[in-house]
Amino acid sequence: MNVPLEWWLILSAVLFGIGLIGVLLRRNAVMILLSVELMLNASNLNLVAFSRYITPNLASGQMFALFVMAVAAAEVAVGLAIILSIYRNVRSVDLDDFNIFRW
Amino acid sequence: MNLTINWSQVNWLALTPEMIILGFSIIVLLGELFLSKTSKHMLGAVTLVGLVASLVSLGYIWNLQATEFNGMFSVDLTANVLKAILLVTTALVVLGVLKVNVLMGEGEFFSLLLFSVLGTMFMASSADLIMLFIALELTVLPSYILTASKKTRQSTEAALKYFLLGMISSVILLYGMTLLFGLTGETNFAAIAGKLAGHPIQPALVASMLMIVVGLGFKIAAVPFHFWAPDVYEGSPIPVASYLAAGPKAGGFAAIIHLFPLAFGVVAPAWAGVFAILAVASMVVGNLVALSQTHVRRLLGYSAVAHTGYLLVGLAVATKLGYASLIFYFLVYSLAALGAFLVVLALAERGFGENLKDFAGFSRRAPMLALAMAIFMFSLVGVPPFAGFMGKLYLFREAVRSDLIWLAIVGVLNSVISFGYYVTVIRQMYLVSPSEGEAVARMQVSKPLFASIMIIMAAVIVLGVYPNAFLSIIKL
Repeated sequence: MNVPLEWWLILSAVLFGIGLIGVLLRRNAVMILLSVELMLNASNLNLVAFSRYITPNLASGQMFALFVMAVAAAEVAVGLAIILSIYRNVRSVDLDDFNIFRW
Repeated sequence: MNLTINWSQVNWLALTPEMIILGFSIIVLLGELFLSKTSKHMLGAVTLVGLVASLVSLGYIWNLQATEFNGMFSVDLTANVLKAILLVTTALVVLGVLKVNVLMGEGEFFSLLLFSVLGTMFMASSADLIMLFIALELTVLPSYILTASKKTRQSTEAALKYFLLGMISSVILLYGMTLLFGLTGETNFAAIAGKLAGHPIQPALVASMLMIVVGLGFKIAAVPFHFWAPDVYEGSPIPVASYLAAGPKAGGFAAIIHLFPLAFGVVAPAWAGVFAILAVASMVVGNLVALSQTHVRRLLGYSAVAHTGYLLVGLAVATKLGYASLIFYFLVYSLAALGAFLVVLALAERGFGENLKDFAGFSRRAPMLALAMAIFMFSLVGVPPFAGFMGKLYLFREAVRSDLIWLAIVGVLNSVISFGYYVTVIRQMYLVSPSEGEAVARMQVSKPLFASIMIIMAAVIVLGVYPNAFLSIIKL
């Protein structure tokens, strides 16, 4: 069975949209982090699909996806550390409780 | 893209400034681990040596034009000038904080600072989407940690806001990059331009361009992606805020200057128009909101947003001279902003607050620092003979030359508005006496901090009186 490229792109756009909605609607910092991860994976899916269909003989898209995964891991490490340190101050991970600066 | 690299053919000379910074950041990190508590204070001096060594090696390859690692990394004059500005401003920050408590291990602070500098340098030299994305992350990840380093509620809240907004903008940028990759099958800027030339413009190309504008617009704090800037400048420790105000934006501007004319050359009028709109929005919003601020660092944060607006005029012009005047104004702005932050640091070190009212009587407490602060404020407004005037003159002259007269008029009007809040700072320092019963004693300032502020003040005056000294270097 040969899945056309468009299907992958639609799946990736849907994933990106779900992530974006999560970022906009969720008030929990960890859930926002997870939504952003979803958007990152949508980008990865794009990269791998384009790499497979448009440049089947080159690995640059897949390499890009690998680098993005490494960067995403680093981002999560830093992000969770920041959320942990804010939790020690405020005892909450809800954005509505972080009110020194207006959002 | 060919993934195999012939290591013997790599011109390592082109990478020496980056290699030196990388080496020193590792040395400083190891120093934090192995040095005794009493000898750690010299790590700041080691960092300063590294930055100066990198600057010297940059001067050695100043006119080199090279592309290394299969087109991943390219060196040209634009990249070199922006790297030099970054290194000079960061060196001045390090000099200023040599005797200041940086609130975390010295080694950690300085090595994170160097890693962020390294990322910005790579960003300035990236000629490939993969490289640009990784360099950008290397720039911002240490900044998130540095912002949170005070561990107070204010500092961590600023860091969380910076982190979440930064990550969302990175993801949008990345999605735009994947679209660009999908359209062309290439990741190299020049190769993308080659593939797109002569083909009809597709909607996906415009979408990709807009997404990349969002991502990079966040890094340079352009309205409407500026929400993090005032909070981070106010909430982070002052040494970190001084670094963030000057350095990392160089990477964002260098990336835009390298990426857009090449990869989006076919839709050039579209992105020039987008940058013109962002320029007007940033100038107006930044200046108007700054008028009502009472916290000096928050005021400087909104002033930074407004100045991003002035700088975007250079991108809206989209000519070589436009970019050159952008770079000159970037130097002028980052020096004055950095100087202002260091003056705030000097006050905070002596236990003064950071609100406008805490500047009352400053001219009697520390006449030299007050004079320097006044000069920085005048330079930010654009009053001759200081550097800001020449910078704005060149920028707006390029706008007029490219038939963007309305943009130049908006810029000049905004400079007039900005006079309102900058002059409040000067009025507080010179005309308002401190509250009754408060003794006005001479304020002590640590010598390196004082030296750093004086160097910046001298540079702001020299660049204003004799800008050719710098313009001949960047070949304007």
